[in-house]
Amino acid sequence: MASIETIQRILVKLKETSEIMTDLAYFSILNQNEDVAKHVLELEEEVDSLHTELGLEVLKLREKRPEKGLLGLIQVGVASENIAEAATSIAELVFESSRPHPVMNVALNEADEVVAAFKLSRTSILANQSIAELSLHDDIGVWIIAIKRRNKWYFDPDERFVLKSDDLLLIRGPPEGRDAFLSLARRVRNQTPS
Amino acid sequence: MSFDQLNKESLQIKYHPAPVRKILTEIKDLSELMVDLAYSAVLFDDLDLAEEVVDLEDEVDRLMSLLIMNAALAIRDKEDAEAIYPIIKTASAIDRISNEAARIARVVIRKIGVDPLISEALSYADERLVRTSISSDSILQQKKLGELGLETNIGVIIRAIRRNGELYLDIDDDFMLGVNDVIVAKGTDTGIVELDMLARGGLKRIPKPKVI
Repeated sequence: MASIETIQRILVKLKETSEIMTDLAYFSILNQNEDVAKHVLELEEEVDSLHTELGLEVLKLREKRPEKGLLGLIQVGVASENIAEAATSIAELVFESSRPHPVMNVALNEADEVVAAFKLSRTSILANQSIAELSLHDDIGVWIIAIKRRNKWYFDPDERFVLKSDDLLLIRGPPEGRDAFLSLARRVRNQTPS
Repeated sequence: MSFDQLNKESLQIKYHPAPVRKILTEIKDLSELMVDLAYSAVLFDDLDLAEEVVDLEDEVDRLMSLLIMNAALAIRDKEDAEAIYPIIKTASAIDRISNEAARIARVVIRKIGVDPLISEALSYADERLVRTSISSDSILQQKKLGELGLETNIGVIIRAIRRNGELYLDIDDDFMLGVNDVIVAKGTDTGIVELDMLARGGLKRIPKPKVI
């Protein structure tokens, strides 16, 4: 059933988008970053249309699948959309208040999962590697959630994305993963890997 | 909580001093844990996980009240008010996220469920969820989480462990794994497969990071 695959895709996309929005929202408020905050607002519109699409696709299935399971699906969809809205309300703070938030910075940086930014130096061992080659997440539990290159942001980059020196990387993961990533990224190319 | 359990004592929220910063970190962590557990509850149709999410929602509500009271006492002037506003707004957004996690959990609790043909897709998301149990041939048994270093070695995060019907969420490095422990974790496709194989005993050593 083609419809089932479409709904699966929408459900996964809703879940992933609402979660990445939350990470980006925390980053935007910690760094007073308007570009990232704006992107969260854009994603909210995307989530809105995904949610509508989900409802329409679910209706198409109503005679083919048990109704209860479809109702549950609609409720999960509503929840993802509301999570996306909550993330948006955090990102909006970037425009509402321009003062730094020392308390929030400490609070968010002491969490189980943190978001950090790192600029790749010219000599970094990570430069000229694709995200797939690095397999950062498989190995140390760190995701690259966005990259800024020459004033342009690339959000949720593809595995084939090749990192370049001077890229600003936004990463998310547990603090141990972040620290492992930072020490890796600081390693200089041509150095023999241990 | 059922209505006959409702009484003034159990609902009363008393002030006690606590740093706003600490409460904010705690509710952020709880809300993310709840979201992971809620989706896992749907994917594995796991009532225990779902009920835990609903209990955690009460905990977030309690912390939220404490945060508001402590923040209120910290405000002495306009400056303070402006400084505390983003914290309260962020905390209330986090509170909303925890409510939504509970909404997802209630789909399982009320036996509505999500069509299994569709919910299985949740196991293919970027961040995958896994539930596995430790067999007697597993190298994970009788090891502390700290010495296994699963997060930095295979990139999985353990969200909950069920042992003898009891669910442990606040799991630190000293937690010792045992046979029949049920692990709920998230990670990448390779990470969760590795964890599953380690738990079942098919994989006899922990893969080391091969980054570059």
